[in-house]
Formats: sequence, structure tokens, C-alpha cells
Amino acid sequence: MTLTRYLTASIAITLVVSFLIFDLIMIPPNPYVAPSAISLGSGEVAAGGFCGDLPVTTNK
Amino acid sequence: MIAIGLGFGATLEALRFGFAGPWRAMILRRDPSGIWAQLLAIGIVALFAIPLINSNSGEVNAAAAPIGYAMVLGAFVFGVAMQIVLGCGSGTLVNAGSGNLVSLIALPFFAVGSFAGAFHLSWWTGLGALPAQNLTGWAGTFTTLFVLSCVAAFLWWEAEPQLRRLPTRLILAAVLVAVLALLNLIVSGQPWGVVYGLGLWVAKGAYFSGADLSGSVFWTAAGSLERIQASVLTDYTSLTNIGLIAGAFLVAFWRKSLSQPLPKVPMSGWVYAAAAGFLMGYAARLAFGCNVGAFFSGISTGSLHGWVWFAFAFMGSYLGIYLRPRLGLEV
Repeated sequence: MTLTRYLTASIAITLVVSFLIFDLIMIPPNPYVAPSAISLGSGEVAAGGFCGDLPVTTNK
Repeated sequence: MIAIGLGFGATLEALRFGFAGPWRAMILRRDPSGIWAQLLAIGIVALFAIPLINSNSGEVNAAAAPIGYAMVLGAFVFGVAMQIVLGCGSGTLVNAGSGNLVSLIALPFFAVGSFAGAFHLSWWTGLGALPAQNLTGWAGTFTTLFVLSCVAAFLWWEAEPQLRRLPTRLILAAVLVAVLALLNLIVSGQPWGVVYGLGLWVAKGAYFSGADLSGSVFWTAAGSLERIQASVLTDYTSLTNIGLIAGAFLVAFWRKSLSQPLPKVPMSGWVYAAAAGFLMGYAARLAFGCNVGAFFSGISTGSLHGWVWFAFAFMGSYLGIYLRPRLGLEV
């Protein structure tokens, strides 16, 4: 039997879905503490995690 | 944000817009088209993003990060590793979603490397760094566009004469990627990034399995703990990462390219893919981003660290390309 990219792509999707299910079980989402739908114009300071974050700047 | 991520994944996969491949094409064949497309996309974003950040500071932020010893080393090592894996930050996600075996092997190690790099980040930044410097306002915008044009002109001068063209496919891809990056900035208030989200996934796994994170300044900072304990559906970088993988999968499925047989990868190939994946993740955290968070988003939002990242990652790519055949991988 020849293995195809269906196998590897399916593994990638399965891993992502499994992680999402794990996270949903551990932390059920709460829409009342969700960030603004659109940051620009919200009047709120954007405080999401980013690759340029330093340890000191994560204390927002 | 998942829709924006789906757009990124679909565009990168369908129009074959990438980062590692075009750098390789320039180094090996003196084909500048892919890098020109990257510079075009960055320029379009910069034209709107830098003034937008200037007039809406706080609601939308630049990819500001300090230039330092660890940042420079991280960019260089990332450049080496991305040529060994033949996939960058975004490319590894897209390739894994479209069924590339090497990227699928590298991806979990990339995530672990990102977590580990952030774990040790304060030690690395303690080696010495300048304060973060950003080009701002219209002066910053035009300076960025001028330097991008100079790089494009230098590539034209260095290119093979018959390869001095930018295909319509890449122009379309550059415009789409730029529009999606601007939407990312407007919706989330932060530029497009990849690596942070991957590290956060591992941090969540470690935290909920009872691992001790107290040794890390980064992961015990209030902001980090808050995000670990919040739903992943509230983390912007995670959402676009999920969209990238899913978007690439959908395009590959639609194209019927998933029926291609898998290549035979020797055991050494698995080891190199895992090691390079880990190094990419670790180095990207030291460098304050990968090709997306540092190079693309850094330069397009005026951060000087993006330019330094570009220079050192490109030098690292030379070494990565040199090493590939010596590691038993194809040239």
C-alpha cells in the first residue's frame, strides 16, 4: 500500500483538533471576557501575546 | 481571526507564496521574483500600517523588539534551520497542512522549541540589547519604502538577467497577503505572528499536566499566565495558526494534491527535521519572531529589528544551503 499525503495532512488536522478539544475541556470559553471583535476603534489597549513580547512587557 | 488565518493558508498554498524557498532561489539560481513579492507585500502593509499605528497607538501596535546579541544569533540560526527544513515559520504550518511529511515532523518540535526559547528568554536578553527602535509616522513610512526599494534594486542588479521578472501569480499573492496582514492588524491590534502561538500551545500542555514553570520569567509573568489560563480561542496568533494549517489543507484537498505518494525519508532525515524544527522555534523566540513576526511584520510596522533579522537570517540561509548536502539531504 502506498502512503499518500492524505495520511500526513489528516494527522496535522487531527493534532490541531485534538489540541482544541483539550483546551475546550480544560478552559471552556467565556464570551463575556473575550477581547473586542475589532481592536481598531475599540478604545481598548491591544494586549494579545506576540512574538516580540519580552517578559517584562507581558505584564499588561 | 480564523477566517484571516484561512485566507493566509489558502493564499500561501494556492499561489505558492513563501519565504524560505524564494531566499533559496535567490542564493542558488539568482532568481529574485519570490523576494520581490515579499518586499512588495511588506511595502503595501508599511504604507498603511505605520501611519495607522502612529495615529491609533495602543489600539494597534507595531512589532517592536530590541536588537541584541541573542536576537542576532537567533535570526542567524533560524535562517540556517529554515533552509534545512525547507520551510519557515508560516511555511512549516502550511506545508504540514498540505501533507508535507518533513514539515509534519518538524512542527511539534518547532512548537516545543518556541516554548523553550521563551522559557529562557530573559537569560538571553540579559546578554545585552539596545532599546526597541521603530520608524514612525510618514517619515518612517517613506524611509521603510525607500529602503525596501533599494533592496529590490540590489536584487535586480544581482539577478540573472533572464530571471528579472515578477509573475502575475506572485503579484496577486503579495497583494492578498498584504490585505490579510492589514486585516490582522486592524482586528487583533497586533501584527501577524506565528511563533508565540505555537509556544503557548506547549505552555498550556505543560501547565495543565502539572509541569513546574516557576523557573521561567517569561511563562510566569502575569500576562503569560493569563493567556495560558484563557481559552486558546482568545489568542490571536493561535487562531491564525489554526487557520493557516486548515486553509492549506483545504486548498491541497481541492487541488487533489493530497493523493501524491509520500517520499521515503531516511531515519537521519527524521532526526534533522526534528532538530531543525526545535532550533527554528527556539531561535525565533530569541530573535523576537520568525520570517513572519520579525521580518514581515517587523519591517512593515517600522521595527528596526526586522531589518537586522533579515540580514542575519539571510546569512544563515547561506550556511543552511551549504549544510544540506553535507547532511545527506538533497541540494
